[in-house]
Amino acid sequence: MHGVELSMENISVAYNGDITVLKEVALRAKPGEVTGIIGPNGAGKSTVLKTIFGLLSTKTGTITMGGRDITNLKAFQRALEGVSFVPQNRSAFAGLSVYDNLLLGCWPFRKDKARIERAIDGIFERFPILKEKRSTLAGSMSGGQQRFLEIARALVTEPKVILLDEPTAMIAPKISKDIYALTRDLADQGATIILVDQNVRQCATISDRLYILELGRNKAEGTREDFATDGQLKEMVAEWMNYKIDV
Amino acid sequence: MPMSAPQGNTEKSSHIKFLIWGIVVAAIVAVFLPAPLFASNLSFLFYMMLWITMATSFNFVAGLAGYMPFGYVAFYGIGAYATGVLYKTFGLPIPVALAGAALAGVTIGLLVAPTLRLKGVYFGIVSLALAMAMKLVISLMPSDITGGSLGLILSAANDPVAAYYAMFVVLMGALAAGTWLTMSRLGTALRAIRDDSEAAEVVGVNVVGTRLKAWIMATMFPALVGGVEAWYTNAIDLDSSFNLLVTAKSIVYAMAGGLGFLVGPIIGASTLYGIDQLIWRHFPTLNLLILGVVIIALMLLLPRGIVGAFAQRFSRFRRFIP
Repeated sequence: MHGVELSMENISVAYNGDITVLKEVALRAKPGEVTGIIGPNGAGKSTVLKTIFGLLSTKTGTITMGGRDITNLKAFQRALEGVSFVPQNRSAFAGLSVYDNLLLGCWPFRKDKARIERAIDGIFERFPILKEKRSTLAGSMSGGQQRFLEIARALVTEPKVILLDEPTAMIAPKISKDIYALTRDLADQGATIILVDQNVRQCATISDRLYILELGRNKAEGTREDFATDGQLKEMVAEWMNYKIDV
Repeated sequence: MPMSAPQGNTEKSSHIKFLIWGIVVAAIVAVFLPAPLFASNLSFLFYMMLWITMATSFNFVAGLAGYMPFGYVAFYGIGAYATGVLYKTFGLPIPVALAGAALAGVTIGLLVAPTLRLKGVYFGIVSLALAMAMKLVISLMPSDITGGSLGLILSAANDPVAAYYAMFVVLMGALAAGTWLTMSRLGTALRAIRDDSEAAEVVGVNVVGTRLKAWIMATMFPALVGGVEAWYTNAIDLDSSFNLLVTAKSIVYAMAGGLGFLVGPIIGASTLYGIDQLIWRHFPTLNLLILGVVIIALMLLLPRGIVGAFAQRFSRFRRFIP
């Protein structure tokens, strides 16, 4: 995994032109780190990821990836640039087999048959359960297995930046633990990961840097250590999110 | 590197599917190509080709891209009038006029392409408005160009056999486009978009560009069909060219066969058009009533169409059905 730095500066996003959902949001995610975004419902966490991926267009601000401005690229162009997105909603193609889902994940390099084979073999090595179920229809698998498939499909392109939106929502605790371990592992291998999670405890545990959003604005930011040692930050999370971050 | 088992299975089923599709196309060629040499009722075969083409191209946009253009007749009407005007008013030869019809259909399709961002019934309503607007625009054009309320008569171009073969070529073109749209990577992308457009975008599919390709194909063929039919009948008028029954029949024939399958519209159009003609022959006054009852029964009993019902009943064979 070769991650690159992704940064958002002064990003504002509005629905229908006038309902502003993000207001001058700034964020920086570094390679080899998990950047966590936490905040209450309606804070704009998922909107940040959709904006980074290009599913929503910006009103102001710039998004750069490895120093390159990608603000005006469309979603599929950002995928070609190496951004992968695992949305909160189920996104595995239920009517396709595990193998065909992974094959679709190879869309950005669909003409390179050798690379496709290499990439899918690599995924099967990392996710033996998917290899076992490669002919199974995605729709017939459990929620946890489908989530792994979605993550695997996002990884098949060897992305530079991985966006994970609530990857453990509605997933059994044991599988959730595996997903967090995988997330950490990917970052340790050099990937740039931006994680949105309602589970503050887990998000804070695996994130190197945290951003707190409130009503579409940056509320606070810092490293995990900052949140554990800075009295003000620590208190904010403890009171506001009912969780105390420790180093 | 050896192929993994599932890829092997996928390739095998693709080959079988392609083989079945090849047999279907060969059967169509065998029936329609030599027909003018011995068929007593050429008109029946001409219109069967016409409806197979209309239902097939309707399937591009409804079955593959997930849109329901209620005003699909707009492109048929545009094609008919483009052919008539280019031939009669501007004196161009019929093949050139037909090429102009295809171009006119695609051009109008591209002009309304921004409406592809609309979903569901909204898109359907806009396309219906397009058909009505096109009819109005043509009716307001100078009558020395479009023939006014009398329409255009192309009797000088009368050549039913040539028109028959032109329709055959258009049908083959539609089947080739269908093969391209469904059996290539483009087909995979279209199915992904139809099932979940956001998920398709997530894997890097150019949703807008891919839909546009299907849309262009879906607008070109009805325009060609309208043009060839105008040549065959030698007559063009507003009410027939923009008759909403053309859209209705395209929808019903495609759905009766099974949307999303290449063979669906072929089976649907040939079966229902055959039944339609049979009813017409024996009960000319009750034709539409009886046909309506047949269609209602078909939709109630086989809501996914003939091929769709087969695929559902014998799901293990589904992957072999083109």
